[in-house]
Formats: sequence, structure tokens, C-alpha cells
Amino acid sequence: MAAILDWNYVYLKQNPFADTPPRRPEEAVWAGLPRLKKQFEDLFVQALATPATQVVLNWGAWGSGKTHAAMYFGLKERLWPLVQEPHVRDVCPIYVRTPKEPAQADQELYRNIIEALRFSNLRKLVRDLIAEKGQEETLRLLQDSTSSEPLGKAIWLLGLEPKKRGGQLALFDDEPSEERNQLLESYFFSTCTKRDLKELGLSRGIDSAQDRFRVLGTLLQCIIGFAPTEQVNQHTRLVLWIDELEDLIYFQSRQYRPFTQGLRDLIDRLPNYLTLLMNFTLATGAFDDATVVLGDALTSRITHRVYFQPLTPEEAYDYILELMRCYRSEDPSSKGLPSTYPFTEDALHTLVETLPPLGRIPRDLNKRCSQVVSQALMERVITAPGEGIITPGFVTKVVETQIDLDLGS
Amino acid sequence: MPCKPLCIVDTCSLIYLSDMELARRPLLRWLFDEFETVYSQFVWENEVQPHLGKMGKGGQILRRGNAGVQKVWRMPGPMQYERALFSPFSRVEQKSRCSRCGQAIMEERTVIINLGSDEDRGERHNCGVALDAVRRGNYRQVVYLTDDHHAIQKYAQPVFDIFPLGCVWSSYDLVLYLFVRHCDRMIAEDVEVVFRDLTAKAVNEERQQGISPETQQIWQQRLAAYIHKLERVAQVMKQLP
Repeated sequence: MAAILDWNYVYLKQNPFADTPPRRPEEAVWAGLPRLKKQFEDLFVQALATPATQVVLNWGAWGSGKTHAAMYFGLKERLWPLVQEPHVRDVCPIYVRTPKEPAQADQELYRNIIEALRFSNLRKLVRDLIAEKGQEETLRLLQDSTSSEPLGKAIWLLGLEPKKRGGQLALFDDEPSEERNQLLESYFFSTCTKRDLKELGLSRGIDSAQDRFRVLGTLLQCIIGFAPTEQVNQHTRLVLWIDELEDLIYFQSRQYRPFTQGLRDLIDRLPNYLTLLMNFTLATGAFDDATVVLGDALTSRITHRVYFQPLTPEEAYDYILELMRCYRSEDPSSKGLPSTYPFTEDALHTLVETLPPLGRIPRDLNKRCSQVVSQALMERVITAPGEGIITPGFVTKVVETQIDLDLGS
Repeated sequence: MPCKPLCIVDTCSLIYLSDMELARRPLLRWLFDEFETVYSQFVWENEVQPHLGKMGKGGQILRRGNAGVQKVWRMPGPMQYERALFSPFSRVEQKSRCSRCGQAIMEERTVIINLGSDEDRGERHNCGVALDAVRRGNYRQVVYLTDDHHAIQKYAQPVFDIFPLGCVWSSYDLVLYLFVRHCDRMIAEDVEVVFRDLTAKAVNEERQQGISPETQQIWQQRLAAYIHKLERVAQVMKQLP
């Protein structure tokens, strides 16, 4: 069986027709969909070259490519070629999913973002800030940003090196730095005790959803930078993707309100250099349905909309062709075969036309291509590399068999 | 002639409504004040009574003064009603989806219902209650309140499509009705909160059994549809003298 399902027989390194999005940005390829790609590229050009915060709602059917887009554009190296100087000094892409436990939604989102940022990076950022502005000025800046003395001080402590003798952190004298780091980390995850608070010299913990979004806002501001807004090259663009926001439907009002209002406050706290992309699955294409679930707090902040619409037959054809091109082991044209190999051109057209208009989305196209090619390999329509080809008749036969199976007949 | 309309409620809706409030009043209290609320003996004995402990405030309301048992609709021969209504029985079901346009292909099918099984008997007996209430002349129309959409498709809608007994409501309809009746006592935002909570309760319940993306989409559309209805109702109510 392993030999029969050898995708090298059809000049492909592997099955390119995945039914789930890639797990890592490096694995993502972009095939076809030039309009959609351009929309994102235009968005990122603006993001890298100007200060304005962007709040983007990406909406489309399940399987239309929203998560794939998040993965693909989650790699900085794909963004830099889009712009010329002057541009931001760096880009920080973060990908998180909408929390699955509504009761702790704000905590889960906060924790996921902090973990994505990594404490080692945060410590370095605050250390650099202290080196640039001095201890007193940094402390004031952070307390102003969080609108809280203890919360601001906690962030400031992240950037202080333990001292051997005397000074601010006398408590940590002769203690290993790792221990202090852990104590501070547990503070940020709200798992420290009253004794720990006393040891850290902080009067209170991070107690509420509002606190968490305030801390998050300031930590993200540390990444973005505190330089004057117009100095684009002194800032980092933060690109935060939140996937599966349709899951807000699982939230009761008492969970939903602090979460969406917290996100809104986060947007308002970061009026520059933030790109927030919200992925929302919506089968109907009725944008209003998405805004109802998101609520006014978030909807009112949206600056851009990207609709992952079903593909036209021509777009679907090009998508499959280009996807195969990304995974070619050899160019079939060099063997006298069509570029659509293992399909004849007509067979590929037939395959696209077997899908209903709303089903012409990447996931369903992938699924159908995978079914047809696998079946061709199993039925030995293709017996060796380049030997045999998929005809329109074969596509029709596989699709009809599949429909019969779906009907249970 | 009783002045309140009759509402036949299923267990699912009772559970959904049991812990919710509208304008600082338990939703079940609203329901019981507005409607003569009843259910079949089977529903009471096998579905509601065993779950009273899990129904929070709603459970307390139903326990107080034996209120729960008093809502049982007493009818002669419930099994005869069940047999007459559901054997034989046909309903419109989705046969498949068109592979070209994606539209659902529906057809009317004769279905054989296992009347010996207790599965879905509560829904079937509640349909019998609806017929009995109108047939014996006490109520001219009834409201059949359920949030179990499978049960609606399987039993309630096919019965109400043939027998003009009244209408099938979801809890969203009930809440919207309360807003129409008492808009001086509540604001649209309160109603929206209840819509969201009802939806969350329903989808979380379904999630425990493994919710499909399609079902999640149906709830999403339902929430959106009722919020749009609410906007329209609020808009109209504001203009009234």
C-alpha cells in the first residue's frame, strides 16, 4: 500500500492537499488567491511603514484559509520584502486562539500571549528600557502606562538584575537569579502568595480581568517601544492574530463582556503600531452575523475587513495548479505531460465544477483533490512516475462514488 | 375560559430558562405568570422531577408548594394519543445536499417510530397534550415551547404543520414576547444579554456531546437572527404612544 500511495508517481514530494492548516509558519505555502494575498500585503505594507493601529476582521467559511493565512504571514521574513525604508525596526507576530474555557477566558488569553512573548524577551526589553531611560524614568513610564503603581512596578522589576549587596532588591542578595525570575513569573501568572508579594515589595497582585489587560497593554507597549509616535523606525509592529473568535458564542454575558471590553481596552491602549487580526468563521457570508457575535465593543474598532470568499472556478483551477507547483519533485512539462498532471486539463476543470459554489474553498478543494489522486494511485490508474493520467471520467466516477457513500446508499 | 394562554414546555427549555433572569426576575417566573404552563406526566416523572436539583432557582420554584406536579396536564389515554399521532407518521427530512449548488435536498418520508422506546417519549407526549388541550375545548391555541431543535424537526413541527394547534416557540421567542409585553419594564440590552446566555447554554450543552461546525453555525445564525428581530421590535416599540 505504501508503494501504491507514492506521491512521487505524480511528481509531487508529498500530498499537497492538506485538510488542516500547517502547524508552523515555515510549513505554510501560499497558492493562488492573488486578490486575497494582495489584500494582506497591502495591509502589511501599511503596518510596517506607518504607525496606525489596524484592527482587521477576517471572515469566511470554515476551511476558507483564515488560519492558513495567519500561519503564512506569521513569518517575519515574508513581510520584510513588502516594504522599503523607512519602516519599523522589527515585527513581532503572535498567534493565539480564542480561549476554550469561557469561565477563565481573559486569564487564558493573557497567559497565552505572555507565553508567546516569553519572559526572557520581556526581561530583555525592560532591561533595555532601563538602560535607555534610567530606573526612575522607566518606573514612572510603566506606572503611567498601567495606571497602577504596583502593576507598573512589577513590570519594572522584570528588568532589574539582582544585586549582590544593598539597593532596591536587597531581598534577593546572594539568591540565584533563576529563583527571583520564577517568583516574578508566578506574580504575572497570579499564582504567588501574600508572602511572595511581600518579598517582591508589591502591595497587590494581578487580580481582575481589567488588571490583566492593563498589564498586557503595557507589556505589548514595551515591545512596540516608547519613542515618539512619528519615529517609525524606532518602533516594533506587533501583529496579534486571534483565531476562532466565533467561539465567543460559548461565552455567557458575564464572561463575554469583560473579555470583549478587555480586548477593546487593549486596542485603545495601543493606538499605534498594533495590528490585531481577528479570524471569524461564518458560513453564510452575512457580515452582520459576525458583528452580532463580536458585539459593539469590538466591531466599533474594526478598521479593515477581509472576506475569504469562495473561489470562482478559474481561481479554484489556478489554486490547485499552483499548490501542486509548490510541491513538485519534477516539472511534468519536462516529461511531455501537462502542467496539471496527474490531471488532464479537462479533468481538473471537471473536478472544480463538481464542487458547489459555496464549497469552492481551499479545504474542500484539497479534500476532493486528495480523494481523487489517492483513488487513482490505489486503483493503479497511475502505475509508475508519469505513467497514466486522471481523466474527467475518472473524476466523475470518484465524486459520484463519494456522493453515494455520503448518502449511505 | 382561562385568561392565560397555554404553554406546553419541554424539559430542555425548562433547564435553559431555570437559572436566567430578565429585568431582575427569574425567567421561569415570567413564564408561569404569563402562561398556563404545563407538560405531560411522562415529562414530569422522567425528565423534570429527577433534574430539579440541577435546575437552580427554577428547581426551587417548581418544588415550592408542589408547583411542579401541579403543572402536569392530566389527559385520558396518553399512550393512545401517542399511537394515533405517530403511527403511522411522516415528516420532511433532508435527503442530501446537491453537489452542484449546495442546497439541501428535502423529501417527505414515512418513518417508523419505536413507540415501545422511552427515547423522545417526552416530546411525543407533549404533542399529545397540545392536541388534547385544543380538542377538549379548554384552549383554542397553544404555544409549544422547546429548544431541542432535533425534537422540533422530528416531532413538533411535523405535528404542528398538520394540526393547526398554535405555534412552536423557542426560548428566544418567549423572551422576545416578554419584551413586547413588558417593554416598559426592561430594556433591549437586557434581552440581548438573555439571548447570549441562552445561546451559550445551548452550545455548551451540545459541545459536551461533540458539536459540529455546522451546528455551531446554526446557533450563530439563530443568535444573529433574534438580535436583529430585537432591534426591529425595539425600534417599533419606541414609536408607539
